[in-house]
Amino acid sequence: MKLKTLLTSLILTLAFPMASFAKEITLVVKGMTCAFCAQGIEKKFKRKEAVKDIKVDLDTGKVLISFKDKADIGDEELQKMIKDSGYTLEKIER
Amino acid sequence: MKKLQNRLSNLVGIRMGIWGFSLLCSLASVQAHPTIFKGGFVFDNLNQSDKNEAAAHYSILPTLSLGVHGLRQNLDGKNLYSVTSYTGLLLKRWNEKNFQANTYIYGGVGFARYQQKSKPAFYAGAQADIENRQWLLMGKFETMQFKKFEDLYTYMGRLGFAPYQANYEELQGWMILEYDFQPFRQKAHEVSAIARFFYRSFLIEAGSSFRGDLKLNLMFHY
Repeated sequence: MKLKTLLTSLILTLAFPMASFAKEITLVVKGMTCAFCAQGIEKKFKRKEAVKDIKVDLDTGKVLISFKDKADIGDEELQKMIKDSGYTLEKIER
Repeated sequence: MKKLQNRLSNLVGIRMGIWGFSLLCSLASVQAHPTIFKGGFVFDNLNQSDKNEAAAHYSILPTLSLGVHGLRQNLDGKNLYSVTSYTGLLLKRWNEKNFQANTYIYGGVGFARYQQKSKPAFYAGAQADIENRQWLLMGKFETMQFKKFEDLYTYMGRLGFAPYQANYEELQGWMILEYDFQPFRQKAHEVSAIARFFYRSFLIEAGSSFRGDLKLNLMFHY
């Protein structure tokens, strides 16, 4: 019984870091005052294969991005995507 | 060569006529965003009793947009039609935590048809705006120059107020007071009250001047 519990615990402990969790990051964006104009951010990110979902919050000036499986987008590319959308990326919260 | 030029002018005139009538509705300016996000497409349409204006353009960069611009303007009871290219340039943008400000220039070249004659046309404008989530202020100058037709100048200012602050996926409403000065019109000064609503990529503005001239503006981003 003890051995069975031990084995189960071991398997779970080893499996936990290998589990695929959708990663989320938050972008703090400057200049995002108008929902009509901020549509560009959503459109640009939704075209990316790595992106599962995106939520824009004008109240906080933040953009929450969920990635598929273990996918990710590098800081430099995030910076470029926000710039191409017409805004300024202030901070990336990972 | 001259024959070809005349035929081309007539063809442009006919096409302009079709375009003008198909829009139904009337020189103020399209309340466009001269450029939008990279890869974004804008269709913009403004209608008044004496004018229709439309522009369709594609932003190859967030600072550069290319497309076409069309206009029907009633002058002394006769319609002037023009089709020009459209280039929008974002000169400078200030992105701050609580506001955004922009300066743009835009314009193009093409043809205009008035009183059965076609002439080259040149269209140019400059715009500056600043807005936060509650207030917006915009100023703009536009001109359309025609060889041998009357040149058109428009000066426009807007002050807008959002009675509530909608978030990203909510319907946003604005109340806008617009002042237009168009020296070519008989009543050169005009003040209008406009209601603006937008939801996601669609924007509609409806209003009227204090003289009762109705306005309807539509914009779509893709």
